Amino acid sequence: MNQLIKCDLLILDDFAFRKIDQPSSEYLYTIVDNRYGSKSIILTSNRAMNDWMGIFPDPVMAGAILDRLTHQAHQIQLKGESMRKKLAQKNLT
Amino acid sequence: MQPDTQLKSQLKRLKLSGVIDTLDMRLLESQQNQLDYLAFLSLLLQDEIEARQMRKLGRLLQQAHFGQEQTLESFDFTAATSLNATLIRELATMRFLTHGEGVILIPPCGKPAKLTSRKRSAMLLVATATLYAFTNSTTYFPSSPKPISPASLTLV
Repeated sequence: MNQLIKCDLLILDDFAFRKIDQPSSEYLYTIVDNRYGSKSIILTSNRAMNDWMGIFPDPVMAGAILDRLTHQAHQIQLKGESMRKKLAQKNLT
Repeated sequence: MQPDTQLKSQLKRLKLSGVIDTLDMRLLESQQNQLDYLAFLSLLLQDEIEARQMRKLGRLLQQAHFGQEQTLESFDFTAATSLNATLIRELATMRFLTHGEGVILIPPCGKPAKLTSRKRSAMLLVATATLYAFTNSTTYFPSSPKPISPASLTLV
């Protein structure tokens, strides 16, 4: 936990991929809250940001986490074929 | 023992393999250009520093398990037209770390999961972060009042 709070850059890949339970969201909140304003987080997600709320059991907790994650964050929206789909096509030809 | 052999064994003992690798070349160079002692020594030490940085980078990249190598230089921004090249390049300077700003990589609104460019740019950011972490050099932060400590990367 301490390492996740203190490291200079934390990368969460495939954020909001699955629903998470209350203890996990509390854990995530502690990390995000402690890093907020001083240490960066990079998030990558396959879901649109509007859908992120739905993975948390408690909407208040969700709001607190997402506020901190998205405030002052650079957003990059991406297009493009799935990497695995592309690779599969490549292997066929 | 030849002076050359003795020097090389001394360098080896001090673990200055970077100097050993370029010694002959630098020696020739300094004779040709009539470099003074200080400049010669400085060149050699710089070689050692760079060799150590390269070794560290290699180690960090291996630990990070990126799977596929991705660099900013090799990234085709013309193919990924949805990407804001300026923003990506700005992010790659890693200046956002000094302010604790976040970066969010998301799919286009309402579209199903897409992976390529997202993964790729995430990877190149991570690669640059690693690069920064290993150099921890102030060159990335020319105007930064307080260079941050060597970055530790955590992939979750």
